[in-house]
Amino acid sequence: MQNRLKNNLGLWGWLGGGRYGAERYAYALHRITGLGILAYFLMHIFVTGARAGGPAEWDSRMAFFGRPVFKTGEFLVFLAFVYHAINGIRLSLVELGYMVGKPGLPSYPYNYSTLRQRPLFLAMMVVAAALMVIGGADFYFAFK
Amino acid sequence: MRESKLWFWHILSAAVILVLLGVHMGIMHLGAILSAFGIGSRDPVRSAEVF
Repeated sequence: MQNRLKNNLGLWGWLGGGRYGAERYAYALHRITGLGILAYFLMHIFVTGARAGGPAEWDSRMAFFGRPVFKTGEFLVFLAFVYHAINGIRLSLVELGYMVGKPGLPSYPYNYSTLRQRPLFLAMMVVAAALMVIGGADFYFAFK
Repeated sequence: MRESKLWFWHILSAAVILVLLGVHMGIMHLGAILSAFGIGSRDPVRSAEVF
């Protein structure tokens, strides 16, 4: 254990983008939202597990989790879900080689793949933001 | 080769999850739209729908 390297950067090493830019922050947020969704799934199993207790137990638990604070929590899960899904589609496209261009000789000014796929990143973030706004409107104003 | 197999299972599990979550989305969250077509329920967590 004495030879173990010291983690000099700490949390910033995990979250910081450095020279990698916006996509590195998108990656950090992808991880955070993924863990958030996973945590929600565990709670979701607990909540829906009330079905095993019969109708009275189900109604009681639904009434408890119908409170505004849980509604807000549900909306946060929705935001995480939208970001994770849209960014996941972006990652899949880039992973499969789309929107990164073809490799070429490095000639100045350098146009590396991170820059070439940035329009896709920006477009996907706009799509995610639009879905968040529409979802928020539905969550709090529509179908009530 | 091992990585290729793991990648294949990864993609396959993603496809399965996509289908299951799609069904879940339709049943649990798009009831207002589906009920217009005569399927699903507007309030799928109501006791009468669950039991």
